[in-house]
Amino acid sequence: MIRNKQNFASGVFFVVFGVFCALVARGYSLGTTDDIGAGYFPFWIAVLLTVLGAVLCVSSLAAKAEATEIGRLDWKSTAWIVGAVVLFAFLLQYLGIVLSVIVLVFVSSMGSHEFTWKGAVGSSGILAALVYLVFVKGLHLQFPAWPTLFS
Amino acid sequence: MDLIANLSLGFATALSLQNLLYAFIGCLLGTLIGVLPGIGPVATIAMLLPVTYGLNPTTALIMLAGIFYGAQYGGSTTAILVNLPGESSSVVTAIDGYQMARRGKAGTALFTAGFGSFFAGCIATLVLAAFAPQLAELAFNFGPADYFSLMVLGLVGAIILSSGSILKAICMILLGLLLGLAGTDVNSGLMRFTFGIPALFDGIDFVCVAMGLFGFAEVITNLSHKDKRETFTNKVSGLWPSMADFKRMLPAIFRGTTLGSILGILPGGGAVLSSFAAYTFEKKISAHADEFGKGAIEGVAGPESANNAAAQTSFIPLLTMGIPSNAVMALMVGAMTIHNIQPGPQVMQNNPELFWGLIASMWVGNLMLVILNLPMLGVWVKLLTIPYRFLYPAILVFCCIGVYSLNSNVANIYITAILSVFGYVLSKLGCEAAPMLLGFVLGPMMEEYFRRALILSQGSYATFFTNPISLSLLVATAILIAVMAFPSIKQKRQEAFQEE
Amino acid sequence: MKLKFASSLLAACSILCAGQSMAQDAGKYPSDSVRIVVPFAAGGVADIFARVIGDHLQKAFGKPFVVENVPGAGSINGIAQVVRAKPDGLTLAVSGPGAIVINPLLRPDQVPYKPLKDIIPVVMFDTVPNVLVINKNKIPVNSVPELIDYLKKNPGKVAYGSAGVGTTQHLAAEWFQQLTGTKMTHVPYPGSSRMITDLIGGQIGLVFDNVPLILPHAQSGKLTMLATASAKRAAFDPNLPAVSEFLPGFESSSWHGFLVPAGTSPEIMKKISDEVKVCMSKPETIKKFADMGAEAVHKSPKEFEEHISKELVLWKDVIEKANLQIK
Repeated sequence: MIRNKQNFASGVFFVVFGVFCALVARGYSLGTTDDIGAGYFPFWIAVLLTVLGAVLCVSSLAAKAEATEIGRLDWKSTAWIVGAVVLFAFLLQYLGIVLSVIVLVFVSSMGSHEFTWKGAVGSSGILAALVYLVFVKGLHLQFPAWPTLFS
Repeated sequence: MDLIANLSLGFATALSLQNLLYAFIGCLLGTLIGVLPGIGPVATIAMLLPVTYGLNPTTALIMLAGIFYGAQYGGSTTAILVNLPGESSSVVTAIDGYQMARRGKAGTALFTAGFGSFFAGCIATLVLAAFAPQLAELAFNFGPADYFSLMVLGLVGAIILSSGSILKAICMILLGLLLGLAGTDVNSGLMRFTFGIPALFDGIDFVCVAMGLFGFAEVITNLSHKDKRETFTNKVSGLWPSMADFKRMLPAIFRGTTLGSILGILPGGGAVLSSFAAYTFEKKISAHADEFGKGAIEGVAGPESANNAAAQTSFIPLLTMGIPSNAVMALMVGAMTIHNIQPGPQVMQNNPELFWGLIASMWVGNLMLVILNLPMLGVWVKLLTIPYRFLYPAILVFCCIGVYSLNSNVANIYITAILSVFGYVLSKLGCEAAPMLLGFVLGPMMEEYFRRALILSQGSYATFFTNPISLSLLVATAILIAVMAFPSIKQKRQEAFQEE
Repeated sequence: MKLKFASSLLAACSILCAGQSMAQDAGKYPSDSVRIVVPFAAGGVADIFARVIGDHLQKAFGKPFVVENVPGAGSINGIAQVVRAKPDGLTLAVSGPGAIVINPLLRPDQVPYKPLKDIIPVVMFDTVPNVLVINKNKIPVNSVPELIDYLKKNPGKVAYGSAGVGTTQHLAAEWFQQLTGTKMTHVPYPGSSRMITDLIGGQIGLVFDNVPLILPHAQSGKLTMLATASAKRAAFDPNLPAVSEFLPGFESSSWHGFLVPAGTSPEIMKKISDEVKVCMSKPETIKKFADMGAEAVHKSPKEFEEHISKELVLWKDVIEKANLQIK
């Protein structure tokens, strides 16, 4: 019976990540003491992470471990936010910053349970204008402002 | 007294109408840019550098310096209000500052940050004026072994950043270390953990990690609380700190200033450590240790003063030796050389009005920032009354643009998106992001110094114990570990006092 | 990214209107604003020089010359962008030896273009000589022959710094060891500043580096310049011998120049090169470059190409002998 579910799950994560990094680091030279190789540091840090992760797993099984539950992961919100950001990155090169910002604000707003069309239209318009004024006109950041087709 | 003569020359320069104007423009721009998450002083100064080509050198440097510490101010504002540290120095401020904001004390937190920075700025300016040449020597006495031990001390201190399980905090630090190692290895030129992806050749940028783990992950977390409306409006209490707040804040500011002034001088990692060191220190000696992580005012006051003091003293190696201690200072070298001023020991003799004018303008700039920011406090706090459904898309927009502008590459946005999923899951598992960020920042430097020390000692580990500076830092680390391992001693003592 | 899309679009267009716009009229160059891609962050030597020359070209040609910083991945990012651009002379890359000579030799797997094939030289406008500097507290010598002697007596004992694996500073020291038959320990740094701090602090004993950071410390006596690594004695100190006086042929200088995507018409390249030549002979340009430790020069497309080919052969040999290639 796993008592401390949070610690158990994070322990598993650390072990997986540690083993992965250790395997990758094996591909780099460990070197000698007077010329430590590129693999030395990452390898031993990864091994240490794996060991500590395992300790975390084991200790979470102990009878006197503090009992914790993992809160439900809200994949829906995650998907809306991450999806909006990835979509923005993808569209930026084609649509330019102004239209991409409107898409980003719109899509990410849909992740809120208080979403309204009116609100999203308003905030995307305001933000797109602000971004245009501050970043394109004000700071002259290097990115396409408008779709490349029209420029 | 030379000092007084020099300072009066400095003030005469700094207080000229033109220089005042440009100092003001610099501070204003810096603040505005610091408030935008992800766009730091390095990017800003780089962008504005060409603008200063036409100014006289003193004025140009005064303006650039204004941007630099203005951005520090602005950066802590976003860290406190929306949990977005745009720079490694404001990561720590975000921990307790954001919690204060959530408890309705955003105004107090911002005031503390501003006041602490101002105080630290004043003291550090004096330190700079009085001891610059002597302090510069310190940097030369710091060898790779000493830096390594300083990093070890910093990382052990990072454990204290966490308010939860120590074991988990250590794992998070190690995780950060590994992430930080991705990219081109300084010693061998080999590309590690890059999997052939060009965007990873230079490693993962700090801003991506901070935005992903803090910014985006926080947004996801807030969205998933379906039952409550996420605004802070319910209870924004007064802007001004109470007498009790002042009593707790002042000693912390004083200690933070001292730590920051010293660490800022060390090129290559000193300034980064200052705010972490101040936080650790405050948490360990505080009578309210249990409040840390939940909105302790010392947790804002100490680190904020430390990082501002360090920002000021990080000018010392540049002005006295011509050696830049961080990316911003490297740009300053560029600015000086454009104006035909060779940075180095001669600046003080050949261009005294520049040297002392810049120093005096730092004080002036700090004053301006306080005056500029105090009336803004109300405005910033008002920002929090915007319903969250309007606030979070704005956060996403500014983060995305900040991340993209790092090197005009959308790959950075993808990296940030991936990291935000990690950050969200880890926060659900009760793992804190702050120790990981410190591991991420210090890890690569630690490895670099470790390997360099061993190359120079021809493989002898004794180098870490025979250097007096390194040895004393390691002893300090051991003491810190002992203090952490036996918290019971302190508890028992407290109990004993209470019984009396 | 935008560029890639735009260029593929333009490529499509040019296929449609076959041959119509292929040979751009050099007389009308530049038909539009010109991008100068600097593959480094703003504020560095290359960036400043690009802006100085860009200003001149803008005045001379009457069209905007816009400097764009595309830093990252050892200049590979920025150069790769230019390689993908349309070869019409409206996109120029600024580069030093790192992206064009050394990286393609050192890490061929990671460099997505072939120097002189995908990206071709237009004009070289400066050289930045390295100097051989020591800390006398670590190496008690006064001249290059004494240094060689000292190194022969103390093999592997002297540590030299470099601004990173595969920088001109590193390769200069490797070549120096190969020519003299000596052995030193290499200590790489991420850039020059930390390296100079450690040299002054006596952690390392010797470096090859550009003049600007070193000069003030040489003047204050903390560091000692033994010789310049330029082919002849340098203008900033004619009393300082050149390394080549003791090791004939030794030369280690960085340089900067403009390059364009392959396929750009020779007339346009000549036009740019000729105008840069005008800029490089102005006294204020020469002074500005000298202040930053560089010497203003002018090499035509052909001379620049020869320079690069020569360096490709030289450093390939040094890299192979020292077994430095990274796979």
